[in-house]
Amino acid sequence: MLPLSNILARKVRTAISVLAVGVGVALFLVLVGLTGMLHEIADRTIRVDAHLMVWPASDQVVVSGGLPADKVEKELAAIPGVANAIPVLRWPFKMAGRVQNVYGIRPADWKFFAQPDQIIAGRALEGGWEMVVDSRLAEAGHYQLGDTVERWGHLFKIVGIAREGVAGRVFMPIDTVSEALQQNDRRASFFYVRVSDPTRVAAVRDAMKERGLNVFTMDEFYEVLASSFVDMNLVIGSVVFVAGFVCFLVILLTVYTMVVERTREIGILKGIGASRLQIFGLIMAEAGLICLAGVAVGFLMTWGGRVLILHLQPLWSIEIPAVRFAYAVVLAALGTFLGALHPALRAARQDPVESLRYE
Amino acid sequence: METILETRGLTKVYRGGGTATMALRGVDLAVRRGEFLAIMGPSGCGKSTLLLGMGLLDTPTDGTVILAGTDTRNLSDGRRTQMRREHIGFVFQRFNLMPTISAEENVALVLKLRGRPVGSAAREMLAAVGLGDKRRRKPNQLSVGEQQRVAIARALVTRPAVLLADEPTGNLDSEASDLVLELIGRFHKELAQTIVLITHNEQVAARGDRLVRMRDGRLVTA
Repeated sequence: MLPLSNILARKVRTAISVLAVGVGVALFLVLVGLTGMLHEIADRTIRVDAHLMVWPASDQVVVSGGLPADKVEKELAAIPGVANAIPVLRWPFKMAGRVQNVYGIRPADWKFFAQPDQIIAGRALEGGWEMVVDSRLAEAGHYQLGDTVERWGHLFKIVGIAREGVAGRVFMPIDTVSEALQQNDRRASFFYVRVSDPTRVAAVRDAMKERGLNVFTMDEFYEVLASSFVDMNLVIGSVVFVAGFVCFLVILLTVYTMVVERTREIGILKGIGASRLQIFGLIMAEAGLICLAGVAVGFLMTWGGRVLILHLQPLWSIEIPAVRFAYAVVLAALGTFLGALHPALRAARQDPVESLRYE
Repeated sequence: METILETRGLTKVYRGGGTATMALRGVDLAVRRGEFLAIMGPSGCGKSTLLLGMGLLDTPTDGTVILAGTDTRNLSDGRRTQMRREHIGFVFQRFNLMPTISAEENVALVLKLRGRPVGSAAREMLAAVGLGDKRRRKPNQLSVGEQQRVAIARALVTRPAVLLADEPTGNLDSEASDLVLELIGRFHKELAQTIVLITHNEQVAARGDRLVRMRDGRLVTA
């Protein structure tokens, strides 16, 4: 009754405080959601029916644009336990307003990248100037089966649409990509490798390493990608900290102003029998209500922000696990508690006689 | 008759700016249960300080207040709050209602602070002071006389042992003053309410059963 009436008595100030908490909550959730996008890319990259990935050393990429595909494939095939060596020539290609990494693969290798039922329209790659796109890219770029896309001076026809979740958003025949890039010899950005006996993956990996290849198991590669997100997480963590701190400062200022402004009322409350604990509880309840409203506004802003971002960047994904919403509530509650603590204690300790004389 | 409230050697010194001001100089005063005591004196004579001390809102520099048989000298702040809550009702010159809540909520607030059920008590108390139909109004929607009647209802809804009234008619016109004094008088007569009322108005003071005068922090007639 009283806490609600008190915060409603200063509508603009309360609205600003609620908004500040809401912005903090939304910033936290949206940023957390955006980090999910990085993991989604990592997830897709290793979602291939293979056990190992062979990458060129970084100097090979700079000097020659990847691995010599035929030579490395032969070398890999000669290693005991290797069932398939699957070359991928990855190249940037602009579609739907954003640069996509085209996966140049041998049409026969499609089965390693997707289940037969994963083509939801059209067919898999066969060869020539054609491409398969995933459903997310098709939706974002409004691409239909049979559409053509002009790049590198050639027209590529969309012959198939794959359900979202395959490793790349765009697949083309590797020879077509090589030809389009006017490469003299077949190159591969990296290889996926299937091992005939999955229990011997580590042994095969070690054998490859002995031959000087840059090789990772799928889990190791995921970890490499995830560790590259650490810096991003640090940036996001810093932003979240700043947002939380601003939220704390706004609550501190709001509640402090509230307490100073209501010095006389606090004196009245003491005069009519309120204890220190009751005064403290009243101030904290007012701050708690602002926090609750702020969290609700923050959730709404998160929803709105997500809709807006996905509208502007349809290929991004913002996945926020339910537990992160709980973290956001805890973060807002902590900021509110810390921000309101000092003013609430000050109010509780106020001398009733001095408070009653306050003008 | 039993003494419900007593001050013994009550002294209050305010210090500040390098000077000390003696607001109370060893006041001895006993209030009997059911008595209507008026305290009169010029501005600055220490009347309000005495009342705040008697109501355990202010801590004396020396001396003590004995309330309902309990010497409050060495009580903790929490225990003093509890004593005040259980035995004292305050009416202030400036009404001191909570501005953001209705008249009924103001009256109910003291019950809630004491952890008592509100029920219809607040409504009945407002009806008793003639404001049953204005219980939903906020203080700024009431006249000053009505605000003081709400303050009286708030002070008495818990049936405190002592009602301490600090210049309750000081901000009212004569008509509203009469109404408020009539109300206080009625509660005194009908409910045997113990009342200590501070005023500098002779006519108001005349309503009490007993009158004491103060000057320079001392009682001059007791």
